[in-house]
Amino acid sequence: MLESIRKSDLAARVGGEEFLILFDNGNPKVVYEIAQRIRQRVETTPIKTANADFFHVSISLGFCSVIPNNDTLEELLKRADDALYSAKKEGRNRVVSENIL
Amino acid sequence: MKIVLFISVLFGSLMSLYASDEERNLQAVFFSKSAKFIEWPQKNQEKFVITIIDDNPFENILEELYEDKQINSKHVEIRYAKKIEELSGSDIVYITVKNPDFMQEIIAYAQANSILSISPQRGFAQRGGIIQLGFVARRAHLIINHEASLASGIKISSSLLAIAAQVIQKDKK
Repeated sequence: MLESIRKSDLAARVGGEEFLILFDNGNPKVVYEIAQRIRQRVETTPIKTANADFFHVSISLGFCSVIPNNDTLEELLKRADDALYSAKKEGRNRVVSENIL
Repeated sequence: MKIVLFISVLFGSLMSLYASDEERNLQAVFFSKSAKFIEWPQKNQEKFVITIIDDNPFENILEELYEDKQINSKHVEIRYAKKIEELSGSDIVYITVKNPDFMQEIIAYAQANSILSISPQRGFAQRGGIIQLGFVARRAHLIINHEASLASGIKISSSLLAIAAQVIQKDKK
């Protein structure tokens, strides 16, 4: 994930299995492409367990644009979470934007 | 333009890889600690039942922790469920389900049967779950849906509500 973003962007773990990236100066189409690359990389990267077994995971991603001077942090996270919820509901392992690209 | 991207890992058992042992222990202890501040409708059953539905992130922590302990003067029974029907008789359900439709069904069942629903998943309380449980720097970070608890017939004391990071109340019209 960190390899996919710029130094000006911010990535953080925000929950048990949830992560958030804040793209500064982002373009929705570019962010969509980055999100797809992260999704594909996670999907194709095997994870090795302590028993030397391998397994794969997939991720869902949802994103939204910040509305300047109009978004509280809670509203912003709620909209991003709603997009993520749509990604899960539409079948997981996909990227969903709040807006039509 | 600033853009926020939310990512959720979709393999339930991976939670155990990311959640530290300490975090799991704190969650496990939370069940008995929080029960002191919660009042369920009268139930005629001998045991206090905690059910984990879907993946079990606790391994055998709950069995070890509650083997000789009581909650509300009852011995504790730990159950593991995959189906809604298996929640019957539960006092607490800890939900790790990832499917949002199934999650919603569980929340509705829990509410109809006075079961305290708890989950660490983001948005859980906003979707009708009662306690969204997280930990920040070893301190409980709770989002409590008080409206949902009242609809379930479950009373949460003001002491617990007071330490919540957020309490969702019924809109006053």
